[in-house]
Amino acid sequence: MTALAPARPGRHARSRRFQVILNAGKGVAGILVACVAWEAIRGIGIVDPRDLPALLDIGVAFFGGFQDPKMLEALVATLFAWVVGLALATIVGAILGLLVGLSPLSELLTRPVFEFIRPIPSVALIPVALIVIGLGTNMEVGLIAFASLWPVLFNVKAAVESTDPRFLECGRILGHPRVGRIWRIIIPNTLPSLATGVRTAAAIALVLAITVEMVTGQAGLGQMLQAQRLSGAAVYMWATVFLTGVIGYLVNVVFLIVERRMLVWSADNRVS
Amino acid sequence: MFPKTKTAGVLIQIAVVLSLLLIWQAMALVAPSPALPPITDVLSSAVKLVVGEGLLTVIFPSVWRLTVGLLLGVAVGIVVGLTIGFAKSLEPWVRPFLEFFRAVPAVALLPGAILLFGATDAMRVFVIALGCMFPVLLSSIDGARRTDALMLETARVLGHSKTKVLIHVVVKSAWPTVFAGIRISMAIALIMMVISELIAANDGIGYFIQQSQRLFRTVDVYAGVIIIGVLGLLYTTAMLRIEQRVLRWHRGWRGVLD
Repeated sequence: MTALAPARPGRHARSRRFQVILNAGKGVAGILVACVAWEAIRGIGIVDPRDLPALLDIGVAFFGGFQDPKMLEALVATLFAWVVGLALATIVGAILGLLVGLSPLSELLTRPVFEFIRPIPSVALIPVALIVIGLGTNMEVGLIAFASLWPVLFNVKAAVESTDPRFLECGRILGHPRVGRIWRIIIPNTLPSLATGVRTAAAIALVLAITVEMVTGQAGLGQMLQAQRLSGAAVYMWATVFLTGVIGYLVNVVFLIVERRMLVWSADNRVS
Repeated sequence: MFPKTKTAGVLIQIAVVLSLLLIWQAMALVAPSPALPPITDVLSSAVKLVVGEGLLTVIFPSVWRLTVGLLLGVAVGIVVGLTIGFAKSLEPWVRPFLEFFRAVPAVALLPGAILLFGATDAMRVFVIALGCMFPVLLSSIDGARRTDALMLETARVLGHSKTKVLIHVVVKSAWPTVFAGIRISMAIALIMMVISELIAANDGIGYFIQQSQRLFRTVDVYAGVIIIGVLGLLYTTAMLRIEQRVLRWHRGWRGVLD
């Protein structure tokens, strides 16, 4: 409660459950306001109404799309490239992050390379990938993997470097060999950061998948968006835009849940 | 073997960079392939872009779009975010809406924008601004919400009006969080600039890279990518400098309280 709000009678009398339902209702109302704004802009006519279809039409097209084989194909294609690229990025990023984090010398040697690649947005590498690898799924997956491994790598590296040295000393005193210490102390310490890194990587991978498809015409949601826009099928295009948004949102939610489960036992939640 | 001094560390890094460049150059000369042009050609092409006629046709449009879009998105994000964070009653209304749009891949909004506004510069700036608005908006909400209750009470007890409290207490204490959001926004703005130029533009660095790739001018592609990287680096460094200046008083002051 903010100290500035004057105490209104009955404010504290609301039960928690009621508060939660009320907030949910307010949230829904907020979304409804946005829908009304959409229809209002449509009604005013600053943009061609054909380009901004009625939300109802878009909704119909969205749910109808799940029965359309072309839409499902595009969805599967994008998700496939996304999953494979992300998996590769996670494995390579985690291993590299672990290696670089464990060895200060390799950290020093690789630092200039990493710092050089960092400021370059991965989407700028699409033309490079086209030249080096050419068209095709390999290029898309390869580029997704390359772009998404950096958050994983840096997170794991930071986690390895920030392992509590007291734990490592305990392990050494108890007679664990170096490998044992890495396996039992350092690696579990990296798991929460790994989860966060993979969540970031998942979002990057999705953006990259769709962009690659838009730019190169590779099969998938991005290519479908371009095709629908160019052929004037505005309703279907907006439905696909909404679908892309829903996928992005679901990806984020799923990974947040995974991350929270990983964090349950971690040091971040420990009461000290 | 670990370097004992800082200078040794820096020298090793420089040595690594130089040796990698030398390996590249050697491989390009010994085994020329379309994917691996000599680094000297790449660098000279990059320099030509910056110093020659490329400055006006290639670099300036991109820089202009990036700057305007970034300033617009950040300004709107800060104003709206701080307001929402301060007026706590407003938050449950907008949270689900914002949480959904935060997770939407910004690139998905591009076809919609092109359809509505056409392939104009205004559309590109709009897309950049929209994409980079969300991180700074969310971190502004966060920053405003986290205002120390003690400070707020003190201000109220001293009789300040709500507006004064907003300006002097909430905004100033939110700056560090806001800047963290600005850093993310900057990265996103750069990405959106490149995406909008790859897909719907007829000038700019992204367009230049796209065209060079279509004409198989590998040298120009690499040069363009390097320029984008340098651009990103310049903007990030500039923003870090600004952040250091704005927060200079904040850090010392925070230290006294803690």
